[in-house]
Amino acid sequence: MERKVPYITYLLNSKEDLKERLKERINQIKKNIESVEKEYGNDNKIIVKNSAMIDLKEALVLALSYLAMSNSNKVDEYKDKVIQKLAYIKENRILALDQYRDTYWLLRQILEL
Amino acid sequence: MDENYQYTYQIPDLKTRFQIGFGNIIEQIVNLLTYSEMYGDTETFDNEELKYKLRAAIAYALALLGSTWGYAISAQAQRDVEIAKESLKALFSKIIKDSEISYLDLLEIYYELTQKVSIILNYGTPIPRPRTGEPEVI
Repeated sequence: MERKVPYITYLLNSKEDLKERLKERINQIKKNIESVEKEYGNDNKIIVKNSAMIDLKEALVLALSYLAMSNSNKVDEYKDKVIQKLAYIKENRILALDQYRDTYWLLRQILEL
Repeated sequence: MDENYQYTYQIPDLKTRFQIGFGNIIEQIVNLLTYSEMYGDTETFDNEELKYKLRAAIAYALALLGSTWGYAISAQAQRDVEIAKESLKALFSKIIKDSEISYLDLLEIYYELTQKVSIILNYGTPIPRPRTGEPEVI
């Protein structure tokens, strides 16, 4: 499998650059959700594919970086949620569609900060 | 070459080098956080290697914060740098003392490192000041 290397240089550029990359990942996650819904209907217990999980983990790590560079008073709350999600994924490795969708909404909220 | 001239042009170069050093290590940590299970490293990290990387990342982060010494920055920014410096030193000590670093620890450390370094990155392009004397506080 070809390894996808994230551009960590975004950290050294600007918060806006980081936000753009996070937005790209979130759009990809939305497409993943639509793809699963198209193939399996709206069965919330369907397990999402590994490649879709990688997109999610990339977005969560980006979100963590984005939060670290933000000044909002909600940062700590969201930071804890992101860390919990990543730790859960590390432990369980997979997510059902409803959990995947919840994480997508969390990422959307972070993008609004 | 004039000493001040040399100093003025060395510091931005040093800062760039610190940024690259920090970025390279952080990228490895991000890869570990994101892709670790794809490479067979599912349950544990090589803790000694990880601790080495983290210590190096903190050293670069401290060097980046230290690079503000050469610039005229606001009093508030100066205080932020001091607080960040103390946090990073505490983090360094914690890493030396802790025998195991879990995935959860790594996430927290990554967050703190990124947050502290963003303080200096958020200054934009500060103005180099002459070599002599204490840091100038605006």
